[in-house]
Amino acid sequence: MLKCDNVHELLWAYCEGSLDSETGARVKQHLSTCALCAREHRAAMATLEGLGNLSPVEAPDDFLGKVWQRIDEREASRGLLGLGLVWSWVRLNRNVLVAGSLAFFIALIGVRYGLQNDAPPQMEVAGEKEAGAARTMAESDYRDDYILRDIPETTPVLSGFDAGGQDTIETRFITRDVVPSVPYSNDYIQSVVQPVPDDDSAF
Amino acid sequence: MINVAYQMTGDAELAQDIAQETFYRAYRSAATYKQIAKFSTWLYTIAINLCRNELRRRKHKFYSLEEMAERDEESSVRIDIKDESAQPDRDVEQKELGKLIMMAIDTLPEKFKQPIVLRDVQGLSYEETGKILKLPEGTVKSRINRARQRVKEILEPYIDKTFLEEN
Repeated sequence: MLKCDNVHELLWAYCEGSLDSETGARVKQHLSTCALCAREHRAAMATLEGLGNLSPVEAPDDFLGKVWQRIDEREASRGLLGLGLVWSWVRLNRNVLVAGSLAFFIALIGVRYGLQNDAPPQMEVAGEKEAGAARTMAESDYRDDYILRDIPETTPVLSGFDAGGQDTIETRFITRDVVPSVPYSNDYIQSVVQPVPDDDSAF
Repeated sequence: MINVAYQMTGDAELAQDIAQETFYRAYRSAATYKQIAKFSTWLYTIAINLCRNELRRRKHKFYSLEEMAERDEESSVRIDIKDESAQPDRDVEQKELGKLIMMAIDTLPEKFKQPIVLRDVQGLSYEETGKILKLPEGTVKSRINRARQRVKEILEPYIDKTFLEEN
């Protein structure tokens, strides 16, 4: 037989129905014989019922709209905040920015000028002015009319031939892998390609 | 969310604001949500934390019965007790009981108020309540029982007059 103190300890669990069947039966038996505990039990049940029956607070009709409005406003203000921070930084570091910008443009101009000087000039094929003929560049067969010297393996080199007259001079590049997209100057070609001497003294 | 915030703060407008803020925070932090807990548990956690911060910020005061009644009159939110078959007298009694319960909840310290609202008002399980409050289940049960006992003590005079005499 449970005592009143024991029942008080188990009362809330009993009200929720979470006691095992045996303990629940013992509490029930006690309540049937103890008026004080039975009163406690009714008060506890009324309390739980009252708590559980507090009606839910309904959201107003425009609640969802307000949520989206808040999201939009906050996101917009976050964006403005970011811009504001950038602007503040710009104002505080105005001198640094001006100096930096000048340095950047000077460097940009310098790089551009340097690149122009380094860029291979347009090719002028030897004899072009005289011949006035169009020249073609393509992968071509190599002819022994010229000696190739000091030319890296992958460097396009000039292969020319004289097919019997100046007008027919055709200048081609030998490339194993790549057809050069940028033609080389006549001076450059002349520097790497030498005509075969008539007396074969070079050999 | 509004319901929880209202039970926690006792202020209808503030409750709506907290609920909106809860959804905004969830929107902002959606990328960090991990499916360890239920989504609703995560939302409740945000809402409870916001309530906690707001109450601490406002240094929540305890209301007298008169203040509670005045505040409820001013509030746009009605505290009604579900009783679809009710007669008028019974309705009044239930409304009065509802107000008393709200007042009783309001008098509880925060650490007791949070679990009783989540468990007994919102109907969450002990396990989920523990997850939201980051408390062991045993601690949650203990706090809830103490909170219930406190609410019962406040309600007893009223319950004596109405419910107990009927039975």
